[in-house]
Amino acid sequence: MLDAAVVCIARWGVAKTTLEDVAREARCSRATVYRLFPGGKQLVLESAARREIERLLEVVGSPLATAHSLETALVDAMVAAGGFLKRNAALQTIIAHEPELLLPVVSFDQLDPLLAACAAALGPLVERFVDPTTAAELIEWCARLMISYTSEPSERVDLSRRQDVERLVQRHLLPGVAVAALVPSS
Amino acid sequence: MRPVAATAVRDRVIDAVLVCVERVGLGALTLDEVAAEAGLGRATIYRHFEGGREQLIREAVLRELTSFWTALAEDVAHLGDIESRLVAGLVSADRRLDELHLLRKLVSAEPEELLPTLFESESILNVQLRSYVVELLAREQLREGVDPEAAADYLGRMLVMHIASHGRWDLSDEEQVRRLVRTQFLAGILDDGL
Repeated sequence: MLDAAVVCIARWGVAKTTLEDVAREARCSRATVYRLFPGGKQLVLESAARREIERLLEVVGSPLATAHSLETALVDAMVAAGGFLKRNAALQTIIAHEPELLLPVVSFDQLDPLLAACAAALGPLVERFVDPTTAAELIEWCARLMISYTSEPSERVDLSRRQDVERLVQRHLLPGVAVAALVPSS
Repeated sequence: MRPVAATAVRDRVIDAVLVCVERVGLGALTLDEVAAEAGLGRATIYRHFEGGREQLIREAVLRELTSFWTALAEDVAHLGDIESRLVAGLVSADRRLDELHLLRKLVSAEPEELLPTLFESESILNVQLRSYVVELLAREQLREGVDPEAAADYLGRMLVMHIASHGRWDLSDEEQVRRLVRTQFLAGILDDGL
């Protein structure tokens, strides 16, 4: 059902997608959709979004967990995330045609739950390289950069291109981690 | 029409929009309300703002954001180096976020109306923010290979992202903010001998 919802959003956008569309795409009845998602369209959308985020965390998690150096971990994870976001047809449809849907999500602290979820899920995976506080800060930092460059694309930096990510990691992230070891955290 | 007088009228109307939004909210905002607050006739407002309510809101958002960033720049103007300015700027942004009444209401009530406005305001403000940062960087010793334009683009993004969502950082705590600025903002940009 959630697969079907994502397919429909990629095709028609969020506003035009109806529960009938989702039911037809999933080859089941409207009644079934309502039984599984008594909250209707809103609940289907929220569940689909949550599952896409879980998928993203999985895609990013495996390079973070297996890399032999912090630099490789960060580069591989951000390239994976950049590729995932770029290939995510539903997200790209929303960015192209319904960007106003993302606006309330990214301003006035609405992003905090997502940032916290990333730090909680992915922070421990880099604790073999840095202390836990720095790990959480680092993951949140990467998440902010992914969000910034996805929502406001740059000519200089395309985070699905490995060389751009390498430059960003070498230029800002690694020196930041080196300084973090010298500056006390409260 | 004399241009000075026209500017004064436009300023008065936009001031009135912001006062009305703070008082009655966005949903109840009407041209009559704005006209009464500004002490002008509806016809005068339409003459200066042919786009009506939508144009008023668009220009008021730009004004609100411009005032916000201008106030931040004034708050940090007495400080010398870029690190002190970024730290003080983030702390004072945190304090001043409540001043963005119109923007807050638009984001929660009418994001589709806000979006074109915000892109327009953002691109105007981004250019100013980036050139402000480039000027600050010109007084600093940069690491080898750092392009000031690229660094300013990076710092502008970081500033906006952190002001929009605090995440794990408490921006009212200057010591935390200093750690944030030294590690995530400037570590890769300033040549501090590390």
